[in-house]
Amino acid sequence: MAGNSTEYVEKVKAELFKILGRSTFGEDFIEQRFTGVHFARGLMSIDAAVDSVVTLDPEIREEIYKLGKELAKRDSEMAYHFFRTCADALKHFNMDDMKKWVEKGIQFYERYGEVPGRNFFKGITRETIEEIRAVGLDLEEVARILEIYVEALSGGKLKIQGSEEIYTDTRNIYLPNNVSFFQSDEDNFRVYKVIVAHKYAQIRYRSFDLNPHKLSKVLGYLEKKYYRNIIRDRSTLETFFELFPNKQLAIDIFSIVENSRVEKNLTQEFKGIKRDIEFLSRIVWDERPLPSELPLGEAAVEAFLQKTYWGEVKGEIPKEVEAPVDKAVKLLHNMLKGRATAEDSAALTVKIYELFEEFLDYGYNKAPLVLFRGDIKPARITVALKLTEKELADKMRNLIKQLDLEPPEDLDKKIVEVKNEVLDPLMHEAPLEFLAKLNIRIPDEVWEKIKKEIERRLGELGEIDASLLTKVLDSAGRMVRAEIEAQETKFQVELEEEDIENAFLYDEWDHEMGHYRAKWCALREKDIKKGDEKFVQKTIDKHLGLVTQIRRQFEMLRPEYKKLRKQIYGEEIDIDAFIEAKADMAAGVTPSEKVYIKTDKRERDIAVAFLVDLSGSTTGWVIETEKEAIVLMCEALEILGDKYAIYGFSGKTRKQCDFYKIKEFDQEYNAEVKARIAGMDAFDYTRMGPPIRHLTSIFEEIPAKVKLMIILSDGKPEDFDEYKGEHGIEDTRKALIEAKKKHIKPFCITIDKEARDYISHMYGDVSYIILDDVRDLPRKLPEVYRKLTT
Amino acid sequence: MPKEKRVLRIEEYTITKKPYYLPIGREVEIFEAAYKNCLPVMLKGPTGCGKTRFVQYMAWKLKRPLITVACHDDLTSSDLVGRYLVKGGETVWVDGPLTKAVKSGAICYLDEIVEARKDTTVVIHPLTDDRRILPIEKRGELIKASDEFMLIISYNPGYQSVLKDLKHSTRQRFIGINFDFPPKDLEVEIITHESNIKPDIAKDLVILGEKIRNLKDKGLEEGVSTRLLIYAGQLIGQGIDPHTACEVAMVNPVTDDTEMQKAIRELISTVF
Repeated sequence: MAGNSTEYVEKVKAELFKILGRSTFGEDFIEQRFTGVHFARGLMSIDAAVDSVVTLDPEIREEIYKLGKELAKRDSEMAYHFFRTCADALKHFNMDDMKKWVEKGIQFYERYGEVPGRNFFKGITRETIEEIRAVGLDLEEVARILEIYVEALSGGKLKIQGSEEIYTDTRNIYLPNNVSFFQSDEDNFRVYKVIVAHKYAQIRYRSFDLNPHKLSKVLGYLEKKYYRNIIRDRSTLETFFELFPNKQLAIDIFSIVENSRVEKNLTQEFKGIKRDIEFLSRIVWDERPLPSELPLGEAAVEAFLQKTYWGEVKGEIPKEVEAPVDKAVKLLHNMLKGRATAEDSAALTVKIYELFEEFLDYGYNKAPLVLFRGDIKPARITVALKLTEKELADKMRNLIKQLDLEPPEDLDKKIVEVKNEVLDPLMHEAPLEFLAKLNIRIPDEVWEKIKKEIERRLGELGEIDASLLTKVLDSAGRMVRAEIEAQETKFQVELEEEDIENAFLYDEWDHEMGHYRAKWCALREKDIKKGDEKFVQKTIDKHLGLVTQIRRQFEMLRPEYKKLRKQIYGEEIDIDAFIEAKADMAAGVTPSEKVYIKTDKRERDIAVAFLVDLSGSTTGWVIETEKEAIVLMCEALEILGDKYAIYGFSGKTRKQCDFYKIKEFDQEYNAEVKARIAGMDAFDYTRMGPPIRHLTSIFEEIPAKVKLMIILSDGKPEDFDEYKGEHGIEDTRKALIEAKKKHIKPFCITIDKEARDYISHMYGDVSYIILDDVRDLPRKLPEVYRKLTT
Repeated sequence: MPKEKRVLRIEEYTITKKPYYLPIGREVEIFEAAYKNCLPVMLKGPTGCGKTRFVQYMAWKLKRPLITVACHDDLTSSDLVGRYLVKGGETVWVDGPLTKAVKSGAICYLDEIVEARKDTTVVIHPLTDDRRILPIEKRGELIKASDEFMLIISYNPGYQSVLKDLKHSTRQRFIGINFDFPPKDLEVEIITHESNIKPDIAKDLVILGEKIRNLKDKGLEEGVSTRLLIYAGQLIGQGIDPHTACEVAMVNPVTDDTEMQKAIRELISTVF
């Protein structure tokens, strides 16, 4: 430390004086108490601050000066107290914390005034320390970044979730809610990043999705050796572990072996992550226990881990375990030399288990986890793998059914087999290729249908598009099915007198007959029950960050003044146009009279209507999020000044199609509208045709250059009667085509996790997006609108 | 070596050096067939996937001059067709690029056609059906296109804006060839060739590109193009470290969203 020579002290004193602007603070005062008049000494000298500051290292002192200046700008006495306390505070805080402490003090000062501000810096309490001290990084803060990161890595097939434990079940990655290993957020973020990359790698390189055929020998061996029975309906991985007398030891060994393999692959494919892993392995090393202090079984596993990972062991290795550990290390190194698979890791686990087995008599407890490797949870993995298999099987079954093919008897088994052959489990193959691998042939007559459909489509669209084939395949399959179903329902019943009272009547498309069923549906406009007006404000508060962003983005879209060239009249002469006219005149051609520039506000002549699905299936999350998205959209549109309306729809059978008015085009966005938005609720079924047709007719009355119809729905159109499947899809498609013919641009946003096969057909040429996570909607809706209208 | 002529008349601009182009599918064959049958061609695809390079390559292969017009919203029909100019008291008619192409049997490439004003795109209509004529109203002339003349437009369907859609009356006059980013192996080859870096680094760039493209429509409007991957490669070839090169070529150009930027940066530091 710099010597506290008088000269040095004087220098610091001068520096502080320069910052504080004076050398005494507070004042002496006389206090009247019931014990009499007291003279209280409140006057303080700059020396107290100097005493504190001289103890600091010069670089730190510079930083402290900077902070002090910030405070002195507001109140020099507050800065004085800060200097007095800073040496003390630095015993608890690093520089980042100091900054936070000062920021907090400034907040105090600004909110409550100078006295509380000064008092805040007079001393440092335990409470303050705990509050300020870097409490690490919350998952919440970085969740979106990690979500994007894993989305990019995996192609959107993995989700991130907060949890007490670190692991993956092959569908989700579970991360701690807070990471506080390091002082800086940056380093703590690296912990999250490495965990995510590591879990991604475990899935990518199939750590847990073991192939039962490749492992059958090993499983048979274990079954015989330990007299245990294979339990049905478990994943291969779980079955494998269950066969060991000591399951935990097997898991711990497998974890070391398999993670070594995964990390080798990961760092080969993604070279950069190696740095981050190495950075973390240093702190992991510090946390490892001494093998010599552990019971022999645990000591063996620990020494095996340390030797394979760091190449050395902390302290002494107990004599008894030395040889088996060395052997295990050699076996692992040999395995890693080649192109090993997870099944190889499992086989090696058996060998190493046998080496360590003898030490189990000394008791065995689970090895402490290596931070970023996390845990392995076989039961969770079983559940997740089964779910993935089921989804895949459903998808294929659906496709097979659509193509009117005979599903093979052992379809599920076959699907799992084919799935096991796919190298990268995150890359799902195109359905048709998958079918081919299942040895399912598409018969010629289906291909004929497909061809015909292509020709028809060509007439409709006039161009060949790569996605066309898939679309056609889609609808071809549907056509085949339609032919079978066509025999059943062919009835046309007139609506009763009472059904059509006060109702708008709309036709419905019967795709089997190829014509409309005249006046088939009765639609009634209804008012929606008002809800809690505060909902709107609450939503805005909840999404404050997003709202600010949306406001800013939409402000930029606001119409600006623009110079229009070549106008018949205007306030300026368009020199270019004028010269052209002059040249034309000279050449003897009639010149254009458009030689002016008009400054004009480029009006956004856009009218947009939102049609929100209020069917029963939206109950809960979906409807709530739809409402929130609508609120954010209103915020944006109010800024933009585009004409807009909001409607909801639901219904039960063709006699009762309900069309809820939430906000009409000419209505203001007032408290009443807000209450109606809050009142939106899930009702009955989704008959999409009639509300689309009704909205189309409303649009006809609205003068606007661009008419946009944005439909929010959560899946297939489906009603209580025969309006489902084929019929509903075809009628909706037709209604959308009708709207397009009237120069309305429909755009569909579908919230749907599965069954996407019908969508491209239903929406056809109409633009659409599918959200598999409803939580994206509030962000997505304004974004879509912005993109559509610029 | 004779000095290369630097200033060329537009209709003389032929490509003499073979442009590097790696065919992805049957696009070369289709283009040649279209050329032989005098069919206009529309190239659809995301930005930076090789549409312009393909046109250059085909112009070289067919040995036709290439006239490119980058369309913008102030582009008028006289800009394409031509206009009278006054030169020392005399008036002179000056052909626009389209007229020049029609007269000289060149390939005329209207890049990003949706950007042009709608009334402008109409002038190409009579050229795109079997009439193959260009009316020049001011001179009261009709120019019949020679058989070698070919019209190509490019169009990026990624813009989903309802305000900037290509009218059906226009698009249905073209045959459409779809472009997309090349498959992995080919993209590695292309980047290696174009930026003169080792295939290993090109492979890492492609891995990175593939990962970032996973984000399309999930926060990114478009994935990183092959062009941007080549830029990054070229910077790396010049000795810029991969992190900085990827940052300037792949983070800043594709997004302004700070969280998205951070996530892409993390991807970069995962790969490199």
